[in-house]
Amino acid sequence: MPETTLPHKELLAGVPLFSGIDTVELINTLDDCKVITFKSGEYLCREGEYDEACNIILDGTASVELPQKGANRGKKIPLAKGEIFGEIAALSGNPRTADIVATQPSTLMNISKNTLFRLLDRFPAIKQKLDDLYRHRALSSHLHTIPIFSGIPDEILEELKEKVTLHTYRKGDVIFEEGDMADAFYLTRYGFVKVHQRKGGKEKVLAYLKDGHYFGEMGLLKNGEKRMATVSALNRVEVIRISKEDFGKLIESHPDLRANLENVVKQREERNILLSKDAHLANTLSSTIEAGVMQSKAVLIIDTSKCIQCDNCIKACASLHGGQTRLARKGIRLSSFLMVPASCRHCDDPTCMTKCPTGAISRDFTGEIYHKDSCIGCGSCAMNCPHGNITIIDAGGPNGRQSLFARLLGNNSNHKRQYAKEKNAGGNGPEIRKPKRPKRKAVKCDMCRDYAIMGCVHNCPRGAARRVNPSVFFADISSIG
Amino acid sequence: MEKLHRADASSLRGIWPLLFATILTGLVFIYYYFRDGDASGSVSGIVYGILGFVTIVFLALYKVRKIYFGFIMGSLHGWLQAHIYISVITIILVYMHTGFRFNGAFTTILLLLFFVVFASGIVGSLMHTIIPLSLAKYGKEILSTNEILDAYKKCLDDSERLVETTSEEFRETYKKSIRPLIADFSTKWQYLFTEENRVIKAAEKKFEMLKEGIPSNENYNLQILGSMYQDRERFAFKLAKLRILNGWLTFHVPVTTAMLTMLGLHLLSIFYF
Repeated sequence: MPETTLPHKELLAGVPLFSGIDTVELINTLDDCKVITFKSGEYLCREGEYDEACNIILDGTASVELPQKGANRGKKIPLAKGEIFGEIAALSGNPRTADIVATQPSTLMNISKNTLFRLLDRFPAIKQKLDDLYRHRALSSHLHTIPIFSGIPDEILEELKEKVTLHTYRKGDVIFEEGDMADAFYLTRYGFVKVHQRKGGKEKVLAYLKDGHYFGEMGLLKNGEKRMATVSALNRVEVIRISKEDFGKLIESHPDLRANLENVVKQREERNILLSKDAHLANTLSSTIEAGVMQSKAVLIIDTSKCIQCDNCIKACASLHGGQTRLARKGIRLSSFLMVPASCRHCDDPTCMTKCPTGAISRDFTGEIYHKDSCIGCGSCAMNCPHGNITIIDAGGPNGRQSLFARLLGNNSNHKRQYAKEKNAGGNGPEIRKPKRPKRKAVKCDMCRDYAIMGCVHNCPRGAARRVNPSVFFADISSIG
Repeated sequence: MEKLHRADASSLRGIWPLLFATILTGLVFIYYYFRDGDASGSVSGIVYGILGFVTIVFLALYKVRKIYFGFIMGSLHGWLQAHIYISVITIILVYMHTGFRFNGAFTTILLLLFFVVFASGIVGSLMHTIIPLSLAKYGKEILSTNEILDAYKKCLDDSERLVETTSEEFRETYKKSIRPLIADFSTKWQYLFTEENRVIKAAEKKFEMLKEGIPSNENYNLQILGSMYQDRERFAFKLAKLRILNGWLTFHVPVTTAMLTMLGLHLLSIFYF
């Protein structure tokens, strides 16, 4: 896929999103966009991949291939010249929701996340259009792909789409509280929520729910009942709210849906009983959720019953990363045998990425977060990491850590000290250049992206260290989807 | 849920095949000891010797793999498993090579050294399975030897600071009975054969007995010192186990080196004669 820069004025004029906008001003804003060409049949993006850029089809056509789940499984939606795609991933930071394939030789304008936000700031008309499009597509893609609605006809879902509302919550926000009247059913579109109860002044976690899950059905199905638990956001959460009336109509007209949901209610009640009996499981669930382990892609865990404390994991990490380890064998205990050491977890909603001034911290298509060479070591990512897993180090350079070779040659080693000495003595000594600030950079676990192995895991002699996807590894203690 | 509840059982699972293999090796040895095998100079003896040498080289390569972190062929865990199980095959090959006859002092010492290395390997394997389990069972944290020694010092400093503000009588008891307990930095090897909760109970008992000689208004200070001592004893429990884990390598590696040196000389002598 060959790339060029700066799209043609004529090509931009054909994009409906930009209609009525001054083209010169538009080109100035989009100056760092790339123009990419694709052959017919090539994939423009894949479902589940992380890519925070959006694209506009300047020439050619493409087709959206919906995932093999839900009401519209495998359905193809054509995309014509001038249409935009990828805006859901760019605006929400979520992975791609569908495959898109070029149906003709196509030319795309690739707009990075930073440029898109600049564009939306500068042109409110574009922002309004894009917000509407986002709402329409986000609702449509979710309602049509969620398995629980797979038996509901398209036209009913389209009708429902006009009635439901899309809500965004920040970390810690309460969606509803225990004891509130049940007034809606919720579908989690993105993010994680915690379902918890208060008993004897103590919080008891019942479940965690992630995208694709739903909640609020217990109160609604047991007509007129109050909420049995509080649901709050564990990170940035997007939910679709279906009012009690609309939900009532839906389950009345679809007995299968009602039966499925009643079955889920039963399973969830059984699960609550199990949690009340098994204190170990309940504690593990609570500590896993409180530690924010579930909201990540790849967590390093250590089975302490196997760890012989040989430090080989740390030595391997340091050896593969120029002497600087990115792992500390200290961390949070999830259960009596499982520990999450201090090492990047590759969060689903990475707050470290939000304020990087140079865009040096990035996420690749698998969801892995890494630092690029453009890192200036400002420390913004380290400050924003809620788990303290990013370190700012001296990257060497003029007065930084010197190589053995430089030290052997006596190269500039006392420069800084000499400068201070001369300055304190009144400045009559030899003229010495003011030392530059040492170059710094941020380091964190990048899952050894330059190697075929993961150093810490691969070099544990007892197999105690493992990198796991928490949604899979802790599936036993996660919710019933 | 199994993996969250029963990590202890899965850790011990690897011991049984190892014990089985060791017993089997012993039985093979006893059988052939009373029934002369082929001499080492025979064709089959030489073949056993070559195979035994190759497996010994492979076993020795574990050390190289351990420090070559970027090696992509096999995880270190896999290598360690191979190191353990191949050593069982090796000992059978070596005894088959000797024909169960120990001619001459040099080869007898070499064989004995080989047996010592093998036995220390078995002991090490058992220790590396059982000790981490007992450390994880009670301990809340993973600490290295140096961190424990730092914690010892901190405990002593804190207790010294605490008694500065207490009565003369309390200070006297502290100096005579408590300080020697807290300032004891020696490794308590007896803790290797006990459980952590027993260690804590014994520490509690010691302080309970001291209560009698302390003014009642200073019981609280004694309680604080008691809990400090319990923490210290918990660390002492860990330290003994960590030291035995680390100490084992200081035996296994030098004995292996001596055995490999003698093996080298054995090979040279074969080619020379």
